[in-house]
Amino acid sequence: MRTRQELDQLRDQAVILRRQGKSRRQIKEILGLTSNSTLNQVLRGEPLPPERAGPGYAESKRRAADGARRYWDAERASREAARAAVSAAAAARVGALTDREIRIAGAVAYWCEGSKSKPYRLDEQVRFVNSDPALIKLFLTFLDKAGVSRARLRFRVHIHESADVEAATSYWASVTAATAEQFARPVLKHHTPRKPRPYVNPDYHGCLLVSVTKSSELYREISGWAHGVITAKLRSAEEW
Amino acid sequence: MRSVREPSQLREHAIALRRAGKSIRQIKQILGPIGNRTLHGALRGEPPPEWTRRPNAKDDLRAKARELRLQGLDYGEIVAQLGVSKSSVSLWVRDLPRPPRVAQEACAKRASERMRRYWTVERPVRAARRAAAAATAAASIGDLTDREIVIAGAVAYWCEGAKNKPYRRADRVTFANSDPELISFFLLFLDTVGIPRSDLAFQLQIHETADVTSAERFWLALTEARPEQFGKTWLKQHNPATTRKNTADGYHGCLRVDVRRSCELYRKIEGWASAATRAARAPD
Repeated sequence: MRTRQELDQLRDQAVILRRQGKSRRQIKEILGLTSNSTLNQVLRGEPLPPERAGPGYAESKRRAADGARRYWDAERASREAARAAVSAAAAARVGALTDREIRIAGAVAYWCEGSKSKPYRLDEQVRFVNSDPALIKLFLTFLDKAGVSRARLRFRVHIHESADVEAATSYWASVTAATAEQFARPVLKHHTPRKPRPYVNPDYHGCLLVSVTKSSELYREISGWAHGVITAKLRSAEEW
Repeated sequence: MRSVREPSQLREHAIALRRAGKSIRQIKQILGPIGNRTLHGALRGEPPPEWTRRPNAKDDLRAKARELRLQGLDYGEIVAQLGVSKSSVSLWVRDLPRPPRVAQEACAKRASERMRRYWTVERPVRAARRAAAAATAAASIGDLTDREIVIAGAVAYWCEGAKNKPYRRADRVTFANSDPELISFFLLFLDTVGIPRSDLAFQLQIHETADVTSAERFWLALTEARPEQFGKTWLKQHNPATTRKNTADGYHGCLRVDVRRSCELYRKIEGWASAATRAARAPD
């Protein structure tokens, strides 16, 4: 670390060079500095050099920013389209699912997002929570295929108290096509943000809990299927 | 309707039969319909004939039950020791004084002891039944085709992997999980879609209080990766007031799997997952 004296010396030299109209890079080279922060420190308070102080500098900055904006305005859409095309082609390749594939997909989704029995808490009830309507729909289809009647389903919305609870409830009712009696009272999350959120989703509907009554047998089946899938061996190979 | 009899006449008749060596049941048969109460009243003071005082089949058990009752056992315990029905025990011992009440703590202790005995036997039975049900379901899955692995892997990624957000587009494949089986399956999925293992980078994320070195060894062995592929282990600071229970031997932290140059793969996974979750429209 430099002593105060050395720093003062450096400051004097740097200010002289700056007033001669040398650039930052030139000053660093002449003084043998490697760090920008040291240079910032010694030049603090010194007015901008003439080439940056004039109206030309601001103008060129503005033009560069305009150029970048124009570029991205044109590029963003085409990149977005390329990106979406890859996803769409992949989706088209998968296409519709067979019953067995729905069972596999649903069991894996359950194993990732559903409630699981733990060594320290034996609990074999089928409960699935998610905020993604696509996953909720997949899970409902999976239950249909597993022979679970829709009458055995119970729902509960978990949502921040600051959100529109009514709208969310009717949203989930339309996603699940369930009756109002199947929905329990919503669980409200207290909203006490310490920091402002970077983004508040206008489509925020909270999470939906789907639980199945009398489901311990079903739980064992699902856990078996999921276990079967994630420990399975590959039967055939094809280029994907 | 039975004929009205004079009580004195009845008594005479009944005593005569009794003295002739008839049992109560035989007298009832001879005299026609007559209540127990009436007949016993008529025969009061008249000793029964000797032959009706035959030994009962369970006289020894009866004596034993009475003895146990006097020692203070309850009906359930006597039943357990003698293997007779509770109603028999009740008939045999109901005239004896009731044993003094057991103190509440002793009673609770006894109940919990019984509960413990019950569950020591029952727990493994039920666990086996549960495991058998799950094993049958697991066996019904069998081996998977590559297509099935792609579907399952994409769904797993959609649940556990890093996804683009409206406020943050990354298009990078990053998958984190604490379940070793799920990590192995994700690696199989990456193999299936043609990602070379050399394109993977790993990071262990674990509580600082856990056994970090053995967890590192565990994941290294599981992934069969080279040590260089593992980044610096990320330590979670320990909260002393924690109530977390996942601290036992099975805790190995979370493993994060990053795929290099994975923009294209991310977009494909997005497509596969959206097709899989749109299964609602699938024909049978």
